[in-house]
Amino acid sequence: MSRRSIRFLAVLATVGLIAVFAFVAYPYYWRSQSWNEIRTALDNRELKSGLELLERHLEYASDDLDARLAAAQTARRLDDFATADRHLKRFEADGGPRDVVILEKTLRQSQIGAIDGRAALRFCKEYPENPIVPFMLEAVTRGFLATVQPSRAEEAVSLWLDRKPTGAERSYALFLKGLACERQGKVPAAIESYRESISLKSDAHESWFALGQILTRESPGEAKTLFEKLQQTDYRPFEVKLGLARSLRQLGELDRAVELLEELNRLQPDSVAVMVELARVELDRGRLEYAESMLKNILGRVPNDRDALVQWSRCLRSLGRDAESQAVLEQLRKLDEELFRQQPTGSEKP
Amino acid sequence: MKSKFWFLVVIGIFVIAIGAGVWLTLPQNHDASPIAPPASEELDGPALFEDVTSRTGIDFAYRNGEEANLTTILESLGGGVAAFDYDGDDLIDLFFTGGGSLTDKMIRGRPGKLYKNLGGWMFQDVTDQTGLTSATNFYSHGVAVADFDCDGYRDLLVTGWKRVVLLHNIPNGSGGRTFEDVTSKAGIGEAQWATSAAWGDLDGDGFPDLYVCQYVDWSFENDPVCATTGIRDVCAPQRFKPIRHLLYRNKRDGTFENVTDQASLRPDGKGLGVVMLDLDADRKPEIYVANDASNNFLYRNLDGFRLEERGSLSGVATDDSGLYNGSMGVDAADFDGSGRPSLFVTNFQGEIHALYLNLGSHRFRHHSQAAGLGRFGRSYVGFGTAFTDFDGDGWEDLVVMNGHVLRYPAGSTYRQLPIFLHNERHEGRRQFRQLPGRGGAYFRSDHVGRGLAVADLDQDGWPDLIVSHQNDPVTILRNVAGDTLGAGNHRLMISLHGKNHRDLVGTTLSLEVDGRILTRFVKGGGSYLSQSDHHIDFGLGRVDHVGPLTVSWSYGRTEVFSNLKVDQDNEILEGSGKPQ
Repeated sequence: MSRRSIRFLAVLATVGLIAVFAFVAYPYYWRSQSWNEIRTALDNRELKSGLELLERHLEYASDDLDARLAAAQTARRLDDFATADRHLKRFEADGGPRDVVILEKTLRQSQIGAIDGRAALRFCKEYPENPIVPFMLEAVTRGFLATVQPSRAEEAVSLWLDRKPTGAERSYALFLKGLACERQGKVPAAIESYRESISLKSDAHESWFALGQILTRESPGEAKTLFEKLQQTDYRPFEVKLGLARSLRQLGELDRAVELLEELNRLQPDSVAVMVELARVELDRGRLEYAESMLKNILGRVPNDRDALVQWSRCLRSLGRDAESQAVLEQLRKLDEELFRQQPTGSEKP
Repeated sequence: MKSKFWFLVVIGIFVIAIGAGVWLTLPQNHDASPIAPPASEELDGPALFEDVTSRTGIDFAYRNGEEANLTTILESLGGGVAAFDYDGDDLIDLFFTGGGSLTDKMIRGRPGKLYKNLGGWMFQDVTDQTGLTSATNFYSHGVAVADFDCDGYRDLLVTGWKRVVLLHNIPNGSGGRTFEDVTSKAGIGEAQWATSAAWGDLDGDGFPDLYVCQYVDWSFENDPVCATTGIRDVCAPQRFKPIRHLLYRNKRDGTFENVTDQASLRPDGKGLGVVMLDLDADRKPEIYVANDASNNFLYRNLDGFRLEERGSLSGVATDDSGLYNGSMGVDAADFDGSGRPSLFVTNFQGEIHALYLNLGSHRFRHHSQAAGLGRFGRSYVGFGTAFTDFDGDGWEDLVVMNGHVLRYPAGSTYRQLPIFLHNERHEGRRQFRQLPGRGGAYFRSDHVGRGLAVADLDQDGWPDLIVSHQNDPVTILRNVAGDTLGAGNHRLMISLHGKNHRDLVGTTLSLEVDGRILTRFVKGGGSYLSQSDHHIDFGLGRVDHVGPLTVSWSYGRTEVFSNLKVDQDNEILEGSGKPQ
């Protein structure tokens, strides 16, 4: 064998060895890279892309129980319960521990407020260092918010914040705290929480949106800026445009508000929120007939919508139909009494 | 050479790889944080008002008794100011209520102060020589002025805790004037907690009748501990029950009859502000009442103390969400050139100050957002307020004095900025815009504002401002718009006199100016705990001549006056047919 042939075979063998090594090592490398991407996404609370990455990962590593559980948890945190169920069932079928499955199902029930979160809250207080606690507190806080128990939600999220979560987790916890405060009428505290949330994660769009909504009345100029910035993202475009229209109304820029609302009305002709806002702005502009037909349309669908009734009463009064306006006021009075009776304050009692 | 080449290639690949890695691991370029507020509307330019307090010799502060540290709701209301010519020298004098103290849970009074206008921005304290020191020595809040006996001199009514005092303006025997306490004789002393009051002839007999707002049933025996932010603070009015307001008929003999029941006044308002004027062009004054934490009232005058409360029906009881507000100050004006008076109400933090657009036929529509009043947010707690055309451009502007009632308010501050709102045209309708750089130094600093009165104190034709604060000295603001924002604009002033000095609240004046009709109203009460001067003022813009003035006298006929003098005070006497 010539020296040249030997050199060729050596190169060939080296290449072959590299190929074999790559073939053997690549799945490990890929798995590690894939998990890095997933962790980064989940750490940044980019749950949607985290779930996509997990699902892609599971296509090639369907036996990865950690990924399966993470997918179930992530889908649950996204309120995508069908996907969560699918992954959790597979997790169980593939030999995932039974107690983990039960815990995940419990967290889901807590998250939607189907079970009383107070026991979970007690557990979190007693075992603050347990690694499941942050997940539990997130779920419980959301459950309390879903079941209109904002003070308990504030208690739960404060416990979560006491654990000093960082980055995106802390930002999200502050967002939930803002919601809890806002629903208790603690507007300044809510604003502070939303602002802090945004300062930790500049693309915390849910906090931008919540801050924009709360500032629509408190500081409409700033709310307008927030909504305009949100329009440059893909975050809830319909609601963002509605928020922008509302802030424009507060600023007295009624013509532009109407333009946006009409656009929204064309997109979703059934949206009561848009129709009520449009009627409100048209009343402000003195276009009574337009407001009248809009409000008739709304009340035909939702006869007891308080907002619509208030505007209907304003509209009838402006049209000189005092007796009808008076009757609507009476209807509103009864409705307010009923709403007052139904106020879920009882659910907050210990 | 060859090995050096390959070495460089390897290094190059290494550098590119690192660069690519760094680039790939860089965080995505997110938008800048949206937490910065939008650009300020701050404008540069010369000021509209100049603080001349130090020149006037007026050095007085309303005291609410906060030094006792009891944080009672009694302390939250503050005091008022009256601008009126008490001695007939044509210069507008000033009266301030004094408040009181609460040491050892004893509610003690503190006399008010009367300052005589000497001209040239000089004032003299004449409280002692006019008998007001002892007469006003009770825990006081408000003041209202009217010539209750139609003798040609304006009398004083001072309101406060457990008392209302009527002070008759009489000769002092040496060519001057003094005040005599005629409360008992007049039969109007009964009060639990009287705040703002308004005078106006409600039955057409020429003599002004009296509406007195009352607040809540607080006392040291009913003084709950409240702590909204964890520290004891002033309780919200929702913790107390309202006290029924009072209505008195002037019996024309120096006495009054309590007609509260006869007029069917509502029992449920926590009253803080009241204004009387003709809202429906029937030449009889209506009564509009700003209530704290309860629906506002509108009493339509049906004749002879038959009043119809139709606040809700008229659309002036609540805001645009159908919710009541915490209302304090109130005023009315034709801000939009409709010829009808719209109502403006200052409200609590978290609420929008309410502008109710008068649509005619007793109908109003909440118009705050449409008028741009939502622009300045909801952190303010508004009290004294006044519509006046401060820059003489022919459109009535707005001033609001702000200051919290809570010592430790969440999301706001105890001291707050006063607001000057300029009446401008935007989107084809009249709107109000702040001119932050234009109000002057006073409008750039925080205060705890309460009472506010408007009067031309130096007789230059430009309306000045007088402000009462909580525990801080009062402020006198000279209107210098004639040299600044309103330079070149003309004005027309009217002194209106009814036959036999009769009360004119409910009278409407319409002036033709360059094809436009400017409408002004003779009002009773208004603002907050305060009384502005009764002169009527028209800004004319650049127009230096005016058409006829039509006066629709309350309970009287219509008269047209021509040949009015621009940039001067025009005396108009009922029935004379021409300016005096």
